[in-house]
Amino acid sequence: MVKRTVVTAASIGVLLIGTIIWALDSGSVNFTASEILAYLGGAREGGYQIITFIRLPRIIFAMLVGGMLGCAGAILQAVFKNPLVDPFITGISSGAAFGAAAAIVAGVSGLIAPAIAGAFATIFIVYRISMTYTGLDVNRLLLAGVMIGSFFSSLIMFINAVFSRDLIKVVFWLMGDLSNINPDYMLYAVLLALASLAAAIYFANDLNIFTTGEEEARTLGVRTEFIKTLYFCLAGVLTAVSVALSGVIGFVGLIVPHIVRRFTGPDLRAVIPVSFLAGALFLLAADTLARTLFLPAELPVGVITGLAGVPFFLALLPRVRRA
Amino acid sequence: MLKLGNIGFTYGINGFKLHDFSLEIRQGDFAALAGPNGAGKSTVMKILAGITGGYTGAATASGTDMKKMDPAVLARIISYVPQSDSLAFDYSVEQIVSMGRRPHTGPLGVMSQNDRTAVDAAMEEFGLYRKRARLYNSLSGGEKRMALIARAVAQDSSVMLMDEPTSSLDIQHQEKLMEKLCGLHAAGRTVLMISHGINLTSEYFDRVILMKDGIIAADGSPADVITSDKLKEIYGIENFVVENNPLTGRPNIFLIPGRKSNIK
Repeated sequence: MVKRTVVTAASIGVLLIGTIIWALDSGSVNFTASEILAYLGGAREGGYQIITFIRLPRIIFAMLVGGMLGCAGAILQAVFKNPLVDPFITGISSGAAFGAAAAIVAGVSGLIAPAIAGAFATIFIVYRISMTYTGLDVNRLLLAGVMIGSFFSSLIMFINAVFSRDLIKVVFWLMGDLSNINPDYMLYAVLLALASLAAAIYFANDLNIFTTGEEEARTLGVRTEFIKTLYFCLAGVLTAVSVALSGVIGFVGLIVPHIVRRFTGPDLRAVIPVSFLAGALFLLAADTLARTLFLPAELPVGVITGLAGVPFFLALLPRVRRA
Repeated sequence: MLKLGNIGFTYGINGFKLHDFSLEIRQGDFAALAGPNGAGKSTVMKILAGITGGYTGAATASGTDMKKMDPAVLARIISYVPQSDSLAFDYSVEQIVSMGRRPHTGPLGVMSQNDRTAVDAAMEEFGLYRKRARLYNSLSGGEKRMALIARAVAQDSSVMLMDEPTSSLDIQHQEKLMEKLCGLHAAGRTVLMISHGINLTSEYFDRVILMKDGIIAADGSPADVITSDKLKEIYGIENFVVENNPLTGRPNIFLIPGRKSNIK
C-alpha cells in the first residue's frame, strides 16, 4: 500500500511540474519552454513580470484551491460514508460563498472567517436534515445539499441585486474564478490549508475505521464524536478558505478522491494527502484551459470543472446504487 | 467482568423500554442471549459494548464505569462483532482485520511487528490469510462474518460480544463458526452472543439468557432454561416438544406442525 501511494504521489508530482510549465508559458503572451526554464533558472529578462506577478501567483492559488477542495471532498465522502458527495453537492461551498458575500455587503473586512461561518452553518443544517432515527439517510443528504446550495445561490443573487452590482461579481461566486485573487490572503490560506491537512492526516486511520460504521468504530477504540466533529470542521475550513479565494468551484472534491482511490486504495492516510496533490493538478489544468481555450476571452474555471464533473457524477450513480 | 446494574433506557417515543435491568457477565462465561424479536437483546448488547449511552443506572467493565472510560481502554477489554454490512469503501480483508489493532496503536495506526503478528494469526485462524488482499465487499456473507470475528480476535480483548453472527449462514458455516467460538472460549475468552437458534444455543453454550419484553425471563444452563414451560411462556408457542439429544443430553426443540391435539 505504501509503495502504491508513493508511486502515485510521485507520478502526480511529475505531471504537476509539467502542468506548471505549461501554465507558465500559455496565455495572451506565449513563452517558449526554454524561456520558462531560463526564468526558473533565475534569468530575469523579457516578460518576466508577467510570469512573476500574474501567472505564478495564479498558479499557486489554483493549486492551493484545488488541493483544498480535493482534500475536503475526500474528507466529506468519508464522514458521510458516501462516495457521491463533495463540498459543492452538499451545499457547503454555497454556504461559504453566502457568508463571504454577506460580509462584503455588511462591510466586514476579511472574507475567510465569514466564509467559515457559512460553511459550518451549512454542514450543521445538512447533517441535521439527513440524520434520522436509523442513521444517516443518503437520499436526504443529497437532496438537502442540493436544495440548500440552491437556496444560498439565490440569496447571493438576491443581495447582489438589492445592494450593489459592483461589489460582488455573481459569476465569481456561482461558477468560481481564479483571475481575481487577493494576494493578501496567500499567507493565511497557505497556513490554514497546511494545518488542516496535517490534522486530517494525523487522525486519518480513525476516520478509516469510522467509515466502516460509527457504532463499530467506538468499540474499536475510536472517539467517534470527536472524529466526526473534527473532520466536519476540517472540511468546512478547507472549503471555506477555497471559496473565499476563488468562489464556488464545483466537482473538484467529487472527481479527485475517486480517481485517487483507484490508485491508492481506500486508506485515507493515503487518500487525503494524495487528493491534495491531485486536486492541485486537476484545478491547475482546468484553470489553464479556462484562461487559454478561447483567448482573449476567459471562462470561469467552474465551467470547466462542471463540464467534467456532472458527467462523472452521472456515471458514478448506477455503481453506487448497486453497492 | 461486565455488569449492568438497574439500567433504565427508553428508545424512541412509546418505543422499547428497559426498566431496572440488571445482568452480570462473568469471566469465562460462554453465554447466549436469546428471546423473541423486540425483546431488547440488541439494546442490552449495545449497552454492554459501550455503544449505546443515554441510560440510567450503571454499566461497568472490570469494575469501572464504562461512561468514564476512554474508548481505546474499553476496546482492550470488550470487542463487538456487528451484523455484517457492505461498506461504502473498498477496504481489503487485511485492512479490515488490521482495524482491530486500533486500541493498541495510536490514531495514525502505525503497526508494530507484534500488531502484524496478531493480524496475520487472526486471518490464518479464520481461513482468510490467502484472501487477505480480497475486497471485503466481495466476500460471501459467511466470509464477511469470519472477517469481522477475525477483526475482534485481532483486537485481543478478553470479552467478545456478537450480534447474531450465525444469522443467514448455512449449516456448514454455522457449525464452522460455532467450533471457532468454542476454540476462543477454550483459549480463555468470555463470549456473549445473540442467537435465534434455540437448538444451536442449547448444544453449544453453557449459559442461556432468555429475554422477553425488556426483562430477563430465564437465565441458567440450557437444561434449566430450555424447557417446555419456559418456551411456551416466552415465545407464546404451543405446537412443539422439547426432547434431549440422546448424544449430548441437551434439550432440543421440535416443532410439530398442525398436530396440536396429538401432543400429550
